Amino acid sequence: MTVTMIIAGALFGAGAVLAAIRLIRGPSPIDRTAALDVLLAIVVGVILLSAAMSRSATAVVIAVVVSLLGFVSSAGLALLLQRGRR
Amino acid sequence: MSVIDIAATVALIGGAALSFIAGVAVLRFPDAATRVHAATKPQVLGIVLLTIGLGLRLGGIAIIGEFVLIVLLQFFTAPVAAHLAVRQALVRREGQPGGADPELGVGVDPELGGGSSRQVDTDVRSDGG
Repeated sequence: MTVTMIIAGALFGAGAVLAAIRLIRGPSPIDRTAALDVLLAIVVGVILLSAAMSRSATAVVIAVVVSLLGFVSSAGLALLLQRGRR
Repeated sequence: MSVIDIAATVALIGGAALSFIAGVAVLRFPDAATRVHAATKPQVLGIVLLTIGLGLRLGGIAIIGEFVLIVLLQFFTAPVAAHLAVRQALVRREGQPGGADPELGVGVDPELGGGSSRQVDTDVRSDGG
């Protein structure tokens, strides 16, 4: 299971770095919203992975809260951009 | 290493691989709409795979309620957020091929059809990943 954690952690880390590059470079705010969605999905995934490695279910509630926070942030940003154009 | 451990390993690495693929796609895809499309993949399938892996590792019945809560929340919220973001991306490339249709009810204001949206669109196109 240690090998599993190393492989999955490396994949998560590489994906987070690539999404962060798009978050910095992204020319429009929509690109940054997409990169933030990927980053928050990676955060939820890391929380679930650490819970799977330690065989404890206490962190699952945190994953629920972070996934709800991701929806609120991306929907709020999209509506804010829509309002800014009117 | 039992069969359940192997299945949990496959599910966990599959979820992590989807997150990595989404990172590559968000960096490499040429357009805002395609990037939003790629960003929803780890939000739904990746989190479902990771939840299956975690459930196989924990092996209890009591935690299933929270798993169903996570998966249903992702199923209902990820398409809504992606739809809002792609709608904004379509408004921003109005007047281009594949741009906003006036029947969508967005971007029909003549004050918005001029230079500003074209400027944003050329910024998007000229990046190229």
